[in-house]
Parts: sequence; C-alpha cells; structure tokens
Amino acid sequence: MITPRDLLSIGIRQVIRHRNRYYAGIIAIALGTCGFIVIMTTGENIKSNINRDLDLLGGATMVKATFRRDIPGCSRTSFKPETVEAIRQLPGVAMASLSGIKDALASASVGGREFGFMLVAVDDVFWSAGSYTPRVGRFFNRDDIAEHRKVCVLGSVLANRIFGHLPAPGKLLLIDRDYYEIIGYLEGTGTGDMNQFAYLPITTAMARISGMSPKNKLYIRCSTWDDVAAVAASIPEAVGRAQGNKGLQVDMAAAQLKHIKRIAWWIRLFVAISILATLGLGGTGIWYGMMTAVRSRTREIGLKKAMGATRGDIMAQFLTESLCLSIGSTIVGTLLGGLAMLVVSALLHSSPPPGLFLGGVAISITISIALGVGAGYYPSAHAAGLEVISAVRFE
Amino acid sequence: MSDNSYIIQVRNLTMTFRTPAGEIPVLRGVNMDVRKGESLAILGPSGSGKSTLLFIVGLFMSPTSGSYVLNGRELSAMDEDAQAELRRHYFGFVFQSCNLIENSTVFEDLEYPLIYAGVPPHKRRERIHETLKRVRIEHRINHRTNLLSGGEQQRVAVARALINRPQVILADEPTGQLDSENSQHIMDLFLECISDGETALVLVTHDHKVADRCSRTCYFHDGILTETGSQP
Repeated sequence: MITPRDLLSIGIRQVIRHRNRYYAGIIAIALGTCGFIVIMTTGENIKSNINRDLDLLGGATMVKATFRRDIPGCSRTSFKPETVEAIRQLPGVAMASLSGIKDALASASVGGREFGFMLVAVDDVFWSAGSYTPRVGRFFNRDDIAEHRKVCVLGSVLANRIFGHLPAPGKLLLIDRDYYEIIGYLEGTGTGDMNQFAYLPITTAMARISGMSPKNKLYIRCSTWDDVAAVAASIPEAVGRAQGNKGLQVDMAAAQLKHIKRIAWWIRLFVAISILATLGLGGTGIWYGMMTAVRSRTREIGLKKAMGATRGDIMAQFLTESLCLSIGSTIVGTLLGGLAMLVVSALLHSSPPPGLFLGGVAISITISIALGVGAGYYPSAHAAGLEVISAVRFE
Repeated sequence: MSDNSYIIQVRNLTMTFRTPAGEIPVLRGVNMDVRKGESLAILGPSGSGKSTLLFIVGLFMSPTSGSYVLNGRELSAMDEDAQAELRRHYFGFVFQSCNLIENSTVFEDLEYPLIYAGVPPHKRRERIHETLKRVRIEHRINHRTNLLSGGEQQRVAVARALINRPQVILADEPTGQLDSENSQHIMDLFLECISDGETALVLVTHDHKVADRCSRTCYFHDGILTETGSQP
C-alpha cells in the first residue's frame, strides 16, 4: 500500500504539472474562500457600521426606557445608578445613556437680548449612544460629568440664533443666571431638532439648574438590530429587580426594525448564495479537471496497475490530487481573504479578533476537504475501476 | 504436477470473450511451461490469442477455464488486490510502445514500482541507479521520458520491469516500434538480464529475428499453442 508521504508528494507533483487543467477550479475556490473569510471576520463590523449609519437615519437600534410622569406616584421617579448599570450589563446592550430635561424653557442672555431654549442634561455616553460627532470642539467627557464642570454644548441652530455664527469654543454663555463655557457644537445627520437644544453635564444640571425633571429617560443603544427585541423585552425585568418598574414605558422603532431585518436577510441570503455558488463552481471545476485527468491519463493508470498498484492505490492517488487542489486553492483564498480582511478592517477602523480569522480558516479547510473528496470521489473511483489491459491500450 | 524448476505451468487454458455478437473463443486449451532462466518467444498472427495468453499469465485477466500454476502455487479465483500483490512480486512488464508515464522523469517512472512494493525512500535511489546502470542509461536519470529516443525509452521500460527483481519478465511486442539495430540491443539487454538463471522471459513478437534469439519458440495459431523449436 502506498504511504501517505508518497501520496502527498505524487499528488502535489501531478497538480503542479497539470496545473493548466485546474486554473478555473482553483480561482473559483480561492475567491469563494476569500469571500467567506472576509464576511466571517469583518461581517460583524460591517453590520455594526450599517447599524450606526441606520441609527443616524432613524435610530433603529435604539431602545428608549422612560418613567412616565403622568402615572400617579411616578412623577418624580428617576433611574437609579445601579439600575443603569444593570441595564448596561444586559446581553446585546452596547451602551445606555441617562438624561433629563428642564421642565420649562431655559434662557440665555447675550447683548441684552434673552433667548429661550430647551435644556437637556446628558451623561458622557449620550453622544456615542446617538452616534453624534461634534461639528466644532468636543462633547462632554467622563471628567466633565464627575467634576460637575460648568461646560455646555449647543445645537448649531441654537448657536446661530443666539450669536449669528458659531463662536470658537471657550466662549462663556449666561444660562439661567450662571456662566457656562461652550466647549462644542452639535450638528449632523440625524440630529434633527436636537440642533436647537443646549446640553449640560447631567451632574451639573441636577445641581445648579432649578426645575430639572428627574433622570427618567434612558437611551439604550443595542449592538445590532438582532438584539433590539430581546433587549426591549428584558428591560422591565431588569428595572423591576433593581428598583421596581411601575410607570416604566419601553419604546423601540418596531416598524423600521422589521424593514431593516428584511433587507439584511436578503443581503445575507444573496452573499451566502454567491459564496456557495462560487464554491460549487470550484467543486465542479475540480470534478471536471479530475475527469479530464483520468481520461487523459488512462494509460498511466493502466501502467501503474501493471506495476502492482492496487485499486485502493489508484483511488488514493486521485483523491489526494483532488484534495491537494481544493486545499491548495483554499490556502490561496485564505491568504487573499486575510489581506482583504486587513484592508476592510483598516477602512472600518476595527480589528477583528484573531480567533475569528483562525475559526474562518478552520471552517474553510473543512469545507475544502469536503469539496475535494466530494468532487474527486467519482473520478477517482472511475480511475480505480479501469481494467489494466484496456487502460494500457487506451488511445 | 509442480516442479521446482518451473515458474509457470499452464494446462488446458481456455478464454472466451462474450460479446453482443456472440461468444469469441480466443484460447482453446493452451498448455505451456516456462522454466526459471529460460526465454520463450511466442509467435503468431494478429488476433491469434498470444497477447491474451500473456495477459492471463500476467494476471491482468482470468481465464474462462483451465489451470495456472505460478511458482508451484495453483492460482484460482483471486480478487484484484491479490492479483496486484502477485504482479508486484513476480512480474515485470514491457509493452510495445508509449509505456512510460507522461510528464515524468526517468527517476520518477522507475520509482513507481518501488513505491507500490513498499521499498523505503532511501533504498529507492540506490536501486534506481543500479538498475539504470544495468541497462546503460544512467546518464538520463533526471530527463523527461518524452525527450528520450525510442530505443532509450524502451531501455527505461526494461529497467522499470527489472527494478523489483521479478522472476518473470513479460514483454508484449517489445521491439514492435524499434528499428532492427535497436531491437537487437533490447534483446541483448533481455538476455543479459535473465543470464542469472533465475529470471524467465516470455515475449510475444512478430519478428522471427527476435524470436530466434530466445531459447524456445512457440507458435500460436487459432487459439492453440504449438512448440516449434528450442535451442540448447
């Protein structure tokens, strides 16, 4: 019986010598593997980016939890810090931001003129939860919140209304008889009416602004749209355990979510079919190449049998060639996929965990072995079954 | 029945091919003995059954009926793998033409029988060099077989048949596509190879000059083998 070492060296040699016959199959399998690895390693990042972009357009992955003030006994209920922490720990929750609002309009005085506007108290994660970026300056950070700093962010529409332009950050603004340093301006896709509001650190607002509502609004950003329903369902229980959930209302964009999920499902199906079709084409390429090889090497098969090769030796030789082809193509595809993954990750400013790439490689190799055996089995069995005399005399 | 000096003993061998057009009897009760160290030439017109006999002796096909004793062992129905095992051990084959493996080097071509016989890699190179030296074509060891001349290719084929030190060399018209000079060289080689007295040569040929160099000559006609002569 031929040894595995001999099988491998003969298999690799034959594939290299007859490579022209196999190019189509090699390219198809390499492309399919490359696509699979890119989707597997960067798919979640792509999904997160789509999530973020969709959030800018409509907050599809945002869940809002509010203690209703119109329910008797709930008018002053706030989310306690431990409740917020419990919600942040729920599976599928990317971040949760606590906010409050001043019941009446706040006022600012500039050049002897008074301007009324909505005043919102927010924490440091409010901006990333809403995927907001400052047009000028910066937003609140953890220190601003912890140290109760007297800083504010203005919506760009409000700033233009007050100043006629956007002054450089650092300017002081008199809000409700207290000076606050303007550190940045909010503007951009998805900000909508929020451009007309002013924002203070939640700790500062609660301490200095009279007439602030309790901290009864919690904005919860889910990791992906698949998490939204589960997160929304688990919030009442989590809040109930931490402080009681009387008057709690949970809202999500159900209709939007349904549409997005449907679109995502079609995209996934399309990508999966494309990868499967590419791998299928690769398998067919190998099958056809191997059948052609068996036909054009019929005399070789006969000669080898005449030299004492058994049916199993011939079968093993052609199966090994088929496996060399499919695994070799997968290695090429893995290298291309790794390269593409680096490029896509750089574009998305992310770094997929190495385990994901190794998992992708392991799955690709498993698929390629199945493909190699599947595509090579029939031609190999056909070769092994040839009769010596008719094979040797084959023209 | 068995005699230690006989390597092949065939009795009443028949072979009938079944085709849609009916049965075609090819061998009709063939008797043949081959001793160790002798050379037997089988002559006969095309289609007379001489190659079929060679293929049955070489275990490429099974006869319809009759007895075949190889080195004292009666061979009855055997599976394909058992036949392959005996082929590896007892026989070396040389075919008429194009019997080298395409796209391979002389070394690789000669390595295959050693691989199938389970010879370890470190012994293969030594054995290949030794055999190529014996057929005087060692300088071509790394050449592609398709770049060799017809005579050189047939020398490589002889080397491949000898490499596993078989007890019988079976040659099916080995000089059929060679000029007379190369034919004589190949015959010189065959006779030199069996000069140890242990290896037998059975060859099928149309060429009387080739047959005349063998120690015995048989003539095949219409499925029946007749001994026509022997040389001391």
